[in-house]
Order: sequence, then C-alpha cells, then structure tokens
Amino acid sequence: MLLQKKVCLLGAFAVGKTSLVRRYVEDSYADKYLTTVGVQIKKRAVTVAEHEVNLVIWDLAGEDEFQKVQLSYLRGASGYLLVADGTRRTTLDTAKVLQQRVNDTIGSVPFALLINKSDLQAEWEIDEAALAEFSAAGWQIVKTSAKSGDSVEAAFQLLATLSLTK
Amino acid sequence: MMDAMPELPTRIQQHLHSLIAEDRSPAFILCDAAGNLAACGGALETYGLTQLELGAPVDEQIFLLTGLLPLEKEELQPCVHTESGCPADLYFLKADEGDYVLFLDATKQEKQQRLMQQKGNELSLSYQRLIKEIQKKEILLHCIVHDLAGPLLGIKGGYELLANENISPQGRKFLEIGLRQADKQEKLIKEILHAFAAEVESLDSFTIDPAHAPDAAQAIKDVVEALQPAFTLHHVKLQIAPGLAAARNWKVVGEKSRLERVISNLIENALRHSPPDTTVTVGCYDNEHDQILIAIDDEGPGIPPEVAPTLFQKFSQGKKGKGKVGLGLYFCRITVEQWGGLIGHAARAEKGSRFWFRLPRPKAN
Repeated sequence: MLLQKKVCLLGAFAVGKTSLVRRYVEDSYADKYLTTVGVQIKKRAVTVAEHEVNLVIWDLAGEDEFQKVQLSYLRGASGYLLVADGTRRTTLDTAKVLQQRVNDTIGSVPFALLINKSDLQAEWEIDEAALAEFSAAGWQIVKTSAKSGDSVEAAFQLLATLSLTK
Repeated sequence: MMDAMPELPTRIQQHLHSLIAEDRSPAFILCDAAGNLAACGGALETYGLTQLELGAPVDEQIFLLTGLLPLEKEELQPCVHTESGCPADLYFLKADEGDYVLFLDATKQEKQQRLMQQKGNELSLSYQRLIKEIQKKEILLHCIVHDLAGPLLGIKGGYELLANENISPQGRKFLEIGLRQADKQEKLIKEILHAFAAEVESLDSFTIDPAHAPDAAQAIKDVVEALQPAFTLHHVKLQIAPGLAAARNWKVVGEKSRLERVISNLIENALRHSPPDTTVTVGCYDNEHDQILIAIDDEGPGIPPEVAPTLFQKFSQGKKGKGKVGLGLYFCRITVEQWGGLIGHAARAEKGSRFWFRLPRPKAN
C-alpha cells in the first residue's frame, strides 16, 4: 500500500513557499509574486529507502502583518519545512518564532529550515554566522532556489526521509 | 458515489440548512471509526470529490484529509484549496456514527482577502526594498566621505612642516588661513562620519546594565570643562545648574563617548546662537517615568518657527546656516532615540531656548 504523509511549508510572506512547491511538483517557476490565502495542497510520489511515499504538501499562507499562520492546518503533519528568504534577515526571525509555536502546538515533529533564493546570494542578509545558532541547535538547513531549482529536490527528499521516522 | 442520504443528526442537518441558505454549495462526507467513507452528499463535484467509493479509506480517496481523521476535536479549517481549485472552509464535526467533514465554498471570501493581502504584502516588500536601497546609498556616501578625509591628513602635515620653515610674515598668515580651513574641513568630515556611523552601526552599542551605564552628571562636567575655553573666547558664560554636585545616581542608558558627544553637540549649538555676555546653563534633573532629563538653556534669540519642525532632521541648518552641515542635531536625535529616549526643544519664558533630552535609567534586570 502506498504510504501517504502530510507535510507542511510555513514561513514569512513572500519567502517562496508556493514557488518551492511548484518547482517540486510541476518543475515550473513564475516570477510574479502571488500571495497564498488559506492553504494550497499538492501531492507528489517519492521513494524513500525503497518505500513509495505519497507526499501531501500543505502550502500555508505566509505570516505577515495582517495574519498569523493558522497552526490548526498542521494537524496530522508528519513533518514540515520552515522557509526563510536569504535576502530578508527578518524572515529568519519569523522562522524561529514559528518553529517554537509549532512545537508548542503539535509537539516535536521532524522539520528542516530552507533558506530560499540562493540565486540572489549576492544580496543575502543571512550569513553563515547567523545560521550557526540553528546548526548548533541541531536544525537541518538547506539553501534552495525555487527559481533555478537548486537543492529543491534534496530539501523535499530530506523532509520525506525525516517524516518517515515519525 | 452515494445518492441516498442517511438520517442525519439534527445538529448536522441544521448546519447544512444554514449553509444551503447562504448559497455556498455545501457538501459533506462521513468517515466511520475505521477511517472508511460511510456516507457523502451535497455539491461534492464543486470540490473535485467525484468517484468516491463507500467503505473505502477516506484519506486514499480525498488526499487533503490525510492525517486529519479520526478527529480529536471539532474545528474549522478555513480556505483550504480543494482538488477542483475551489477554496472551501472545512468544518470538522463529531457525531455518534463517525466524523463529518462539511465543505463550504469560500471563493468570495478568498477573493476579498487575496485583494487586501496582496496589496498589503506588495507595499510591505516595496518598503523593505526602499529601506535597503537607502542604507546602501548611505554606506556608499559614508565611504566617499571617509576617503575624502585621507588626503586632508597629508595637507595638514604639509602645512605643519611648512610652518617650521623660514617664511615671510605674510606667508605665515596665509599658512595659518590654510591650516584653519583644513581644521574646519576635518571637523566637518568627522561630523558627517559620526552621523552616518550612528545610523549604520549596530544598535546594540550601548548598555542598559547599571554597572556599566554612563553617568550623565559626570558626562556634563567633563564636556563643560572641555568647552570652557571656546566659551571664554566668545565671551559667553558656560555654567552647570545647581544640584548637580549632590551625590546622586545620574546613571542613564547609553554609551559614555556618544553621550558626551550628544551633550557636546547641544552645548556647541547653544554657543553658536548665544550673543556675547549671555549665559548657557547645563542641568540634569529627575524626570517622571524613571527617566533623567538633561537640559541646555541659552539666552539667544530663540528658534525661528519656520526652522523648528526640521531642526533634528538630516542636513537641517538654522536660518543663518550657523549649524555647519546640519548633522550635529540629527546625530543627537538618532542616538537618543536608539537608547529609548526623546529629544526636543522649547522656547524659554525668560529668553532664549531650551534644548533637552531625556533617557531612561538603567534597570538591574
């Protein structure tokens, strides 16, 4: 029987969550920013350690000045990706706060931190020193680019692997 | 798909009726305790829920429900984009025969929210980009000004060496003019660099720890002592207000050298606008809200109303341009505000102006 795992993406607004999902599921990319309202759900089959897993991916609306991430969406999730935008330092702070809130709400669930927009590395405000704190805390960190596709597969594969351990 | 409707509990029926009345294409599925589809009905096709098979596992047929059933508690999950693309509010309700999931079309709500959120987020991104651009330009300007200071050292050194040579009295006079101008330019560059440094550097470069916090009274004494010669030269009296000598705790949040710089800028500003034979008084006072007020009172002509609103802004100058490049007061404002304080000015009832700033006292915790 095909295993089905629910995973979520969350982070500040405009960090590229929907673009990452689109790159992963449809292998496409659109430059125009379109805000997500509520949650969008996609799925993709993936093989993890010889297991066929259907990843059901919940792409949650980003946290912004007007709304907080609705954590009830995370119910039943086997793992999640926290996404930050490398060109906006504050999005890393948002990711940190969200991780704590998720942990308080649904308990310890596997997750990884994605620093997206690696194609714009020259404009990054998040350096290795800023990430050291998270690495030291045992967070898995992947630098991705939804635009170029760099490390997107690897990030979801990592999450699928982690979610199987739950 | 099942067409025959089961006998629905009154509560569920009432809920469905209310949804039908709202014309939001309600649909429902019922999941039994084993996680299989027990019943379904309503506008299922609106949400892409077709070819459902009774008795088969729900999460294999409706993938968006993966991990959500059985229910632990009743809840609403708003604006979930279903397989058809139609956004739906999902109501999860418990009943004796299993868990109901009600689907309610949320297209209108989604559209309204999207419009508002899209606009808000775009504005927010534009603002962040603008701030970043401004910072980049300020850093560039900072570098340019810094580079301008380099050759000045050489020029001054050259003049100083020339002063040791045997030159005519007229030549020495010209030399002194050159040296004075070079000194003036050096001061201007330092002033500009101070203003930019305060803006660019980390905001953490001050202390709120009482053990290391600067003493405002001591800073006033040091600055007044350093500025006495300049006041004497201009025939203006500089004095400290009574009460400062008392052994009191005048510690404030901040950083010593910058605090002295702020006080110095304000006293120098008072001197520039003080006619001969007048007095500038510097005082330190208890202020409400556990803050300390530092005030510099002069007996000058006062601040013209047209200048007052922009006095603490970058490159603002007094009416007669006496404030050099107009960064001194700007530096004071951004520094005091960084430390959680406030700065301002007021006309004095007697004569002249009062420039003041207040800073919080450091707290033990």
